[in-house]
Amino acid sequence: MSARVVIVGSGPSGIGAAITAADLGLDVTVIDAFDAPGGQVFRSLPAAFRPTRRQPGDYVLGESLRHRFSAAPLRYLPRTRVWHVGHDLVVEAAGPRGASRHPADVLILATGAIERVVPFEGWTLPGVVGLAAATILLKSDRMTPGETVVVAGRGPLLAAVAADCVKIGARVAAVVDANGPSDWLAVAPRLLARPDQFGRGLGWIAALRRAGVPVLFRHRLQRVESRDHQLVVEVTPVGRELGDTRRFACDAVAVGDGLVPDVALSRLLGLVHRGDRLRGGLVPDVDAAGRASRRKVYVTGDAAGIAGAAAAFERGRITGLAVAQDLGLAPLGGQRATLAAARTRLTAADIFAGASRRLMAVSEADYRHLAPSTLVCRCEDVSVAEINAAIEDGAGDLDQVKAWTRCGMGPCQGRFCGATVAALAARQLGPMPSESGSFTPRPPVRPVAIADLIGRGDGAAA
Amino acid sequence: MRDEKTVMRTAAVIDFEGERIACFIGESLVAALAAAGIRALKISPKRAEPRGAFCMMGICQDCLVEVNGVRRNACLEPIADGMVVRRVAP
Repeated sequence: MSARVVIVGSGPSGIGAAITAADLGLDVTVIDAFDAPGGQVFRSLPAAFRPTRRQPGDYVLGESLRHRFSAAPLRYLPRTRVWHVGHDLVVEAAGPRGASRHPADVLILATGAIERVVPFEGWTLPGVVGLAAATILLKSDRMTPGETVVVAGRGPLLAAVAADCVKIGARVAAVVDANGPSDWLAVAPRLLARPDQFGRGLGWIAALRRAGVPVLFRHRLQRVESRDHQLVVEVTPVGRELGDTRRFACDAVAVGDGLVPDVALSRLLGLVHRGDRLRGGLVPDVDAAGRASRRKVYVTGDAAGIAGAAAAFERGRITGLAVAQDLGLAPLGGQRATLAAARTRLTAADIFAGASRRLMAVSEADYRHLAPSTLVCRCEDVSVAEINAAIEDGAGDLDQVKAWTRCGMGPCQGRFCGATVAALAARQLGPMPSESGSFTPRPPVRPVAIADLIGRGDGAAA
Repeated sequence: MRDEKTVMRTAAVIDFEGERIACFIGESLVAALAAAGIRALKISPKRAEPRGAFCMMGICQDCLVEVNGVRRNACLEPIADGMVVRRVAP
């Protein structure tokens, strides 16, 4: 009997690992929360949409990945959420047909990244969405977040989102970039490691120029207010908190400050993690093939540290080959060549990703200006002042902050407040070891209906 | 604002809080409602402030609604004709 390989996530890294392991004859099950494989960068179109004319490059690439995935001999469970993995490597999931359990001989976590947002007054208003969230609307729903959009934060996604909004016909009131031209110039040589992407970037910038979109370098969002069915955005220069405020009216704001690995499952399993600011804060300690601190467990793609979608596919393939090798399967003739090619492409992708990481990086200084009333925790309405008070009262790590304030206790399980609380805590307590500088995840790591877990009494979901 | 150039869509009608919303089959419920000017989907627990879709990937839970009586993330829910959508009780 071949080993049961369970892969959580069907983004580029999950696809890479899945097709590689399946082609080598392993018994592969892929579990994913979404409708179709591809992850966030290579989102598919809704089945009822009929593509016309020329399609965006990411969609075309995604279709080829989906084609390869669907041709591979594997089991695929879409719309299914993994809410727990026990130490016995039994994966607990809930999907359209209710709860299911998947015992794994080998577990590959390909859970990807989530967005980081440095909070500001009004970031919880309806109409304010994440920057990666905006790309999902653009790629899958083929719509802009609004008619008039302010695009803010940091990293290459700023230009991508703004240019796509312009292309569809929305007005971009402003692009607000925490970085300056010198920051972009400093990474330009590394961006050239992928000439295709570099060219795409130049195209975005040209489109923004033609549309006359104001680009505010070294600026950040100070506040968003809802007034007369509009959002009014206040923008200030980074590092100068008084004066020079500019205002823009819009009906949507897309804001994001980089990506962080979704480490909920890797932390739940008790894998060793390490701090790596550029790769997204707390990252699982894995080798180049994704082997984690525990045998039979692998973490691959952005879940093992941010390097982007192109790198993720190659990382997934390398992990798939490593799994086969670790199981003692004799290497086939073509595999060595596959591995060498994957490593070569990964090297180029990672040089490019290094530039993106630099542009997306945040430091403690980015959290210094937070107003006391600003919400940190969206789920439980916990403010900066409440977090600071808890730390002043003696909360010594993030779990204590959570217990005292409920920050991180809501349904997102601390995914959107964790980085902020860590930065606020580090200001008062100094640098913390990685485990106490983050929330301890508890099952269920994703919200799941009780009915889905216990069944409905008709045997359908037992 | 929907992109009319790269895709063809098929019309649908859903019921949101008793209001008929014209939209398209397969698009996300968040997209359908936003295009109709509806962005506030949930009320926050302590400050009782309106919240709307934020992450678009089923994590933040600020777009939680009831679809045909079952709790769903509006960002992950594809439109089907005749869908009945309600806000969840705070």
